[in-house]
Amino acid sequence: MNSNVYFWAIYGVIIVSAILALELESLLWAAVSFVVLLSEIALVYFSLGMPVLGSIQLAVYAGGVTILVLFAIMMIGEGYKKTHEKQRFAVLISISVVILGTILSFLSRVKTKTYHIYSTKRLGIEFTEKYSFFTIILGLIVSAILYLANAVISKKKENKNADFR
Amino acid sequence: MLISADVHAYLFLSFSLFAVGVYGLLSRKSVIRMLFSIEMIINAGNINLVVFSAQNNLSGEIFAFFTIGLAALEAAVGLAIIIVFYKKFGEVIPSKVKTLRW
Repeated sequence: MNSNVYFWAIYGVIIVSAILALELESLLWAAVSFVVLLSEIALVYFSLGMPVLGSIQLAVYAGGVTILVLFAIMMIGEGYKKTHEKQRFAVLISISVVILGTILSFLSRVKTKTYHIYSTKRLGIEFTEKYSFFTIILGLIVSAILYLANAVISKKKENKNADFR
Repeated sequence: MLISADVHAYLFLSFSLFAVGVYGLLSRKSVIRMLFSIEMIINAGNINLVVFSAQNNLSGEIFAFFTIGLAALEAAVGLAIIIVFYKKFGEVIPSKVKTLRW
């Protein structure tokens, strides 16, 4: 199949599943649509010659995050009322984002270069040589986020204790 | 390699996904839908990183790894807070939640 046709087919599936994830009334089916979206993005990574990133996208996003979402839906139910208050405003904003972004991308005169396929070995070497320091920063960010999440939950517990006094 | 489309086509895909995410953030009141929208926006950014990385060097791909890790963490913490909201208020409408503020 011509690669352009293949690309636009994937584009269609990604955008339709993204819209369905927001528009479907059943949260369960919205989550299924979200999985399709994330899997198609992993397919884009695979087709660009990045199998490691595609596998991580599938495992972490399409696997882990979706399971978390499904657990949340199981715990809180599917109660959802559609609102149309700001819908027209939101559609206008998003269409203008697409138009403005596309115009800017053409104005920037970015040219398509040859696509390279890098080996996993080179990826590992570059990661350990250049970016291993970033794992420390990432660890600090992760601990900060977990600390704040714990603070939010502790705040709720304090309130509960105060109610019992 | 299966796809070698023009870089502008990939940028258009990224902008479209970003726009759908912005639409969801602005128009939906369900917290889970807002979380979906945030994930879409992050994925749009990741597509940009990956496409330019495929043409130049590996840095974009490595940053995409970091982004995926952080986004997964953000989703986990977000869902935990949603469940706390639900236990406390019986619903997950963010505009009605005010007492968790410091």
